Amino acid sequence: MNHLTDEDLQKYLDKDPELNKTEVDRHLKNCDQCRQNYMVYKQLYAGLADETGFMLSADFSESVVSRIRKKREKTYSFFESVLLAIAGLFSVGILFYFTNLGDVLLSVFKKNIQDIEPFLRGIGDVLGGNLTIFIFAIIIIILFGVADKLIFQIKHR
Amino acid sequence: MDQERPLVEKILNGDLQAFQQFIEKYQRLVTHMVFRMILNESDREEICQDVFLKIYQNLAKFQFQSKLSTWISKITYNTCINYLQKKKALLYDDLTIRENESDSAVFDSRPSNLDSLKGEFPLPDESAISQEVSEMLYVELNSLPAQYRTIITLYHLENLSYDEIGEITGMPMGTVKNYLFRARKLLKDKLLEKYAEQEFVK
Repeated sequence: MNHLTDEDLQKYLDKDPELNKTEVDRHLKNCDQCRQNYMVYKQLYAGLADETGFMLSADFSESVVSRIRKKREKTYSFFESVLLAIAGLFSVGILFYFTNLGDVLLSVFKKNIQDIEPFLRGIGDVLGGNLTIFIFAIIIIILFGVADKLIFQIKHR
Repeated sequence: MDQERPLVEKILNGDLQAFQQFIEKYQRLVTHMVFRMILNESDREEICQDVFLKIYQNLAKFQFQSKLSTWISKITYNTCINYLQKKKALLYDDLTIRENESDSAVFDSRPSNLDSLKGEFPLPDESAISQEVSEMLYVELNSLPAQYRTIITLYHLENLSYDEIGEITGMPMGTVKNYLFRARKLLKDKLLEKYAEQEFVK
């Protein structure tokens, strides 16, 4: 028999059923060169199966669980805020519907508008349009900004 | 496979203590893969944490159609590959050049050729591997591209079959066998070179 190849020796150590084990055993008994190669492979296999050095910190599993817990709490607090906001809006809506608070606030709003009228009129004149439309436009822009921020937060959570 | 179902169900019902048990059960597998694939020691533990967070987030998608350990290995493998791609690390490499270099190094550094040296120097006890050789092996192993290191780890540390390794890495079985053979031959040559060198120094 010729010398054993690297493939033969690897198959032998892998216990590959395709290999004629008896023949390899016999050859290894009589051939110093192949036996040495085999021994080196055997050492290599032992080294590759060595588990030394694979160490994580002792509280690894606890840290992962604590990360999950924090994430959960964050999500809960977000939904809590959304629910609170909805509840708040709903309450205000009910209040406006069943009382005359809306009229009161509108009169306050109108009064304030009149107070800052000279300043806003200047801007309105520059824009050449109706002042009320200008104010509503600002309010709509702010509302869009808030909605956009909320959508961004939900998407990236 | 069904033994794992109750634990998984507990986790899906929000039981974090069950997930802690799950981590302790599969920590060894994830650590082996991450530690062999990621060479930067300071990033390893965080990557292991990320792997388990991904497992937690995707556990509901696991349908018990494969082994849970294979599914975990796939997540670990993909997490490490993403990390390595970001770091532009070497994933694949043709080992032929290194194989040739290794052969010629042995020839050049000896008074005679490799064949004549084989069988002439004593090897240490077969079960014991010296600290020096172990360290050398660690260095050589880490110099291999990540894919080779992964395959070696899954085969030698996790005792997985070629099929399972192929399923985890997405490589055909032939490639898995070929990578494994070439990496081991290269490492064996390095080891042989080391033993010959030690004897030559004496």
